[in-house]
Amino acid sequence: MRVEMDAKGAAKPALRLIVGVSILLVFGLAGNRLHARYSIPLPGAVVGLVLLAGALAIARRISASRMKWFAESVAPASRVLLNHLGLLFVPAGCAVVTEADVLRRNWIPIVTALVVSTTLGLAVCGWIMHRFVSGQEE
Amino acid sequence: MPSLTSFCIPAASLFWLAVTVSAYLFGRAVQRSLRGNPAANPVLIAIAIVSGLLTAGHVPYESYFRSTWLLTFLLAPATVALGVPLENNFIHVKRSFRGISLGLSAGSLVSMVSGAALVKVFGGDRKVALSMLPKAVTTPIAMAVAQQIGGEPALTASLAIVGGIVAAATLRLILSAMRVRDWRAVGLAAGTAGSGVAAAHVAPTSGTAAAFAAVGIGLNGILTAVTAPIIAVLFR
Repeated sequence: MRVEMDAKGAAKPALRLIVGVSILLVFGLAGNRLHARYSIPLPGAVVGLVLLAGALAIARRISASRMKWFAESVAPASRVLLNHLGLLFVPAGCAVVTEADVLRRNWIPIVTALVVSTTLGLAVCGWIMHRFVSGQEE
Repeated sequence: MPSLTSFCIPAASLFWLAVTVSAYLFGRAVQRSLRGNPAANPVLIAIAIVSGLLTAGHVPYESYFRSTWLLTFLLAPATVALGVPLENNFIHVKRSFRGISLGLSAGSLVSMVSGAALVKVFGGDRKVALSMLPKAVTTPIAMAVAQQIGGEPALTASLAIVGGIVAAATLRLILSAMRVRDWRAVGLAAGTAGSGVAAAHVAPTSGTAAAFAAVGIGLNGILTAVTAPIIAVLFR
């Protein structure tokens, strides 16, 4: 793939964004295919996440200059998508209107479980991590 | 073959897309004016506004969802994009491997099992228990997992956001009571138990906490996707 370069030899920002989003889409698609083909228990997008992290790690290892366009186009695209990740699940989240009576019937178990399990998870994870890393250099 | 005009977006579709984006921008403005208070979550505000409008206008959810498919479509590449911050901070995973692997898996397991079990204990529906199970991970992954194990993705989305707010609000109190002061531990706990919402809350105070929160979000997403279907068997 050839990316158009400007005077400084860096790809143009808008183009980089388009290339970056396309790369993310390709990894997502590959994840979906693998998920379906080998019945991997992870959702397709999560398989794509693992593949992308692996590909970036490999690109970092082998000749950095050759693979520069890859990391440099994925990074801005992922920043844009992750900065506004919240917007992307508003439509899906609005389906709670169809669950209104479930919420009404279950609000006591929901509130109790949500508050207790979240704080428990927070405390357990923080405490164990603290025990292992305290006194260790960063 | 579809005609070229079928690629034009109908006006009603544009209307609901614009409403959704405006509601989200309004939510962000509200949060900024409250100095980043995690309780004023822009996504929750947007969901409340749009749901209210849909109910008031008697718009069926199906047609709203079809109008805004573009946003939902982008959820998949956005989930893949979570691999970037994870890979960027992979050096931390190598350095604190034992602490991260044990802390993360214990925190993740406790959160999943206690969440689903408490819903059952307090007499909640099976569907609610299964929707509660993956709620600690980042919303797009939580929704995909909920779908897979027989929960309700929309319910999980709301639980994930509100859970993140609970984590952000109680984080300092709980961790300082347990004398957890190391930023690596604070960050990892925030990312593991409260995903993006709690991570955004600790990120401005410490770069270390932000890095470990990114690790917590990414790894807990992967871990939960693997283990949730197994744990869900207990609650069928």
